Amino acid sequence: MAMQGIGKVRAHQTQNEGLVFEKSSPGKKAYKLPPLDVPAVDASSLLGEAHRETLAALPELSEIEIIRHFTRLSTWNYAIDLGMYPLGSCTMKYNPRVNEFVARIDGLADAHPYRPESLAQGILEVIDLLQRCLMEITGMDAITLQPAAGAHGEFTGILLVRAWHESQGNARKKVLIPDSAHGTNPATAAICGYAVENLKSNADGGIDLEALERQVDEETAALMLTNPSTIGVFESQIHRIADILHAKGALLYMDGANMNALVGKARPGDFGVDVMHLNLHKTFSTPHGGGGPGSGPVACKAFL
Amino acid sequence: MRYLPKSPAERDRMLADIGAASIDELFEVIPAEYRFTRDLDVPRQQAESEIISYFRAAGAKNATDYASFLGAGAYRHYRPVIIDSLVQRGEFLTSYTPYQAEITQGTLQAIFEFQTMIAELTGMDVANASMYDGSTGAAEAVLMAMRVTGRHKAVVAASVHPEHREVLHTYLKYREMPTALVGYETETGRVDLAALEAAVTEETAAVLVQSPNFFGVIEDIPAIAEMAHKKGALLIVSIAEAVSLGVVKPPVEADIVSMEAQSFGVALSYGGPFCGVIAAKEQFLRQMPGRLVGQTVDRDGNRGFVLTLSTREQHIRREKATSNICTNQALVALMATIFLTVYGKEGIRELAEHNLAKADYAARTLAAQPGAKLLFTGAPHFHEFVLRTEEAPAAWSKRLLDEKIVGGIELSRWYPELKNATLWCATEVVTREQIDAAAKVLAAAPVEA
Amino acid sequence: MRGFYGNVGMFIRALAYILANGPDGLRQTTEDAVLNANYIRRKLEDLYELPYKTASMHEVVFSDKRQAARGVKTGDIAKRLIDYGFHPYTVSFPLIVHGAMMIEPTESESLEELDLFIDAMRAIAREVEESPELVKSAPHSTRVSRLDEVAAARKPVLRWRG
Ligand SMILES: Cc1ncc(COP(=O)(O)O)c(C=O)c1O
Repeated sequence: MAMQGIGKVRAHQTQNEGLVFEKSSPGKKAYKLPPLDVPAVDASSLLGEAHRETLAALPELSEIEIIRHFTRLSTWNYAIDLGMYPLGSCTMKYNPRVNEFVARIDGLADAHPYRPESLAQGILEVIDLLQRCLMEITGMDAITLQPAAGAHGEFTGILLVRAWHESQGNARKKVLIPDSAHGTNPATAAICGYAVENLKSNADGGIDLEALERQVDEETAALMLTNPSTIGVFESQIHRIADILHAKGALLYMDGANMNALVGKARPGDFGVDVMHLNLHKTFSTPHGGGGPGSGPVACKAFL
Repeated sequence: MRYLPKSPAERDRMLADIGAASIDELFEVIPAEYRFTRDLDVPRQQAESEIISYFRAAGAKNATDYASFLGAGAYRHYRPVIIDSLVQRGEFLTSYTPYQAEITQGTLQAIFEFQTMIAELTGMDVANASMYDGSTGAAEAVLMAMRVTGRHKAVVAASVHPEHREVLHTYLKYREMPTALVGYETETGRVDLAALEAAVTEETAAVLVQSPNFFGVIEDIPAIAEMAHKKGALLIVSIAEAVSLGVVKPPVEADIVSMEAQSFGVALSYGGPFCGVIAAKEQFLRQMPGRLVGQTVDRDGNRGFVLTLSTREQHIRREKATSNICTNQALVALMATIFLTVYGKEGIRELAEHNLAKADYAARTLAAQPGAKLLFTGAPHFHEFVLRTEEAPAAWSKRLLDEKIVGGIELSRWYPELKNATLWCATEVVTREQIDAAAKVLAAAPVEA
Repeated sequence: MRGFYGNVGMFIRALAYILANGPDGLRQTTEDAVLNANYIRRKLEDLYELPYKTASMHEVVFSDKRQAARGVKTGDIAKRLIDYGFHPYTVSFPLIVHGAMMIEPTESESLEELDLFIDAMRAIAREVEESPELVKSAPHSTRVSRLDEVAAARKPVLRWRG
């Protein structure tokens, strides 16, 4: 290999580590329950037919073996903590450790979602402050934090679009999606009951205004636009795009996956976007965790 | 800014190399009228110590030292310490979806282990790598059944978690998929089998039930399966309390299982992140939503793992995908995997038996108080039960809160017919002392004038 | 949309991030993200094809056009990056760029790290000319290499069986 000393980290690649099941042997334990302070029950007589007779084949190991197992597995992963992770569209930025620390603070981490609101004031304040910050950053008027990821946010946003059109008397039939879009965009439009119509990009990889003008009609519910686009370019004609859509009563949805290029420099709410989602796991540094969890807040204009 | 690894001189050097006079030049592509020139109106930059103080104060306002009998789809179980120490390893925490298999074998193998454990526990053949949560998992399971059967109707038990039913409603809204709601038997709290039989037709794609159901009652899965299968419909069993599988027979008669795995070592965190997962019979594999990890070999014949069957997914199939899901709940699934490894085969049973015992004692003790009575006693429960009181729950709840106890949740908010009925949950972390204290408060109802 | 309030644990983290940055930090973050992407673009555009010349913001998309002429595809270059100690860029997305190489450095990379990455990309471009097979058979430094995805999908093994 002609690597001439270039490159850096090397993971712990040579360690062999079988599956956790292969390391198991009966009778090993990594847990200890406190003594029962109530009378023991006979599960099989309490549950009758519903009692589980055969146990699931879960592994049986001691604590040190579990620590080693998962630590060894971890060494087979690349990670932001090891080095640059230039995975486009995913915004693999530093995941600050204080985030992990505060998310585990007593009272926040152990709050039950159905606890009385009087006992949840702290978390509600956190939610409120985050909402206000995100509305300011996006320049939008309202926000919901409920969606669990970007794609889930798209789903929420397009349902919102649909509900609005319905309130105007016609749900409309199609959603325009540029050929440069992420796969979740068309998949989302489809699950919202819309036909997906492809919009061909122009020679610069951006929205072709003429094609847009041709394709937008009274049955167009929205355009799902990523801005900056998936080639990392700002749609400088964004105001024209919004105008063309709005003239036909269609809405502009923005996939906010690339918001890391805009925070503090430009606001979607100012350039004509009606509804958008953010990815807290991209722009706002929450860890990707090997594929999740994420969070995909949806922000929109007041009329929605 | 302490997260940014650049000195002013380095920034200048980079700009010079790029050939830009200033950073603003790089933003000139944004039309001037849309350039944001003022400061964002967000709190000023804070020191780490200030951030911690802020969140500590918020946590303290939430009150931490209350005993709690809340369940209803979010369960308090003890979380072994090693879960957080392992999932905070940067290699797990700060890694992306394992698309590049060579440098994500750790995540891939751990997911493969998760899939195996979930399949083992649920009695299904295969399980996926996770869904957002139990509610979206159940909705996606119904859509999956629709694809498998080519049918367009769903029958849903009223004893399925009401919020899960709402999510299902949202997911199905534009699918032209009518759902029929089937009530519950008042003696047992189980789905009304006669009504279910009448509701399932040749057009039914799926029957969705939850077990243990929202009232904590274990459904008669074999009987329900027979009714569904007789008409060619699939049976989907939703499991909101995963720990129940330590003592409760898995729903092997089901075709699809949608489970919320939060109970496996995942903090309550005011309702999320949790961890949904879909498991199913092998023959339905190609209609599964979400990521799947499969075993394979590399070019030297070594065992390794990859994401597989991705032709079902949005990045390949776009609008024809089985789901739009991309990011899932991977790190939370890892928590569950570690939890299940800690408890293991025997431990998960012992843990479930402790839950059973606590709830049995709590149910008997609370029901023994004057004016209190258990509902749905005609069928077995896991660790939740419904208590009806003569006194309005709002009244005794307040007295309980004064004693720093959060009692059961009122059911009338979802089931208006269940007046003065509350759903209680007692997991292994609830103590006898707390149960006795709650009973004492219930007993202390003011005498009516 | 889903049960309860959403992934609340993520809200806490995101707010902590916003507080750590403040308005000035958030702006500087965006500027650095854009600066880094443009720096990479500048340092690699002589060796890798830029299908769209429009100004880049936070990410830059090259294509494998020149390397493909030597039989080396974006996926191969990505795998070779692993040998140099980097995670690959996004491969084959967006679909409008044939053989896309989508690079998003984010603001979190120091100049030193960026230069190492650039050196690696340049070294690989050289390898493509001199010894394409080396790149096409990468990675060479990992525990497993080039896993058989076709076999995995043809006969799926999705769980362990004792
Ligand atoms: C442009 C774009 N849109 C949407 C998504 C989907 O977001 P998520 O994975 O959070 O569901 C992604 C994620 O990779 C993306 O890059």
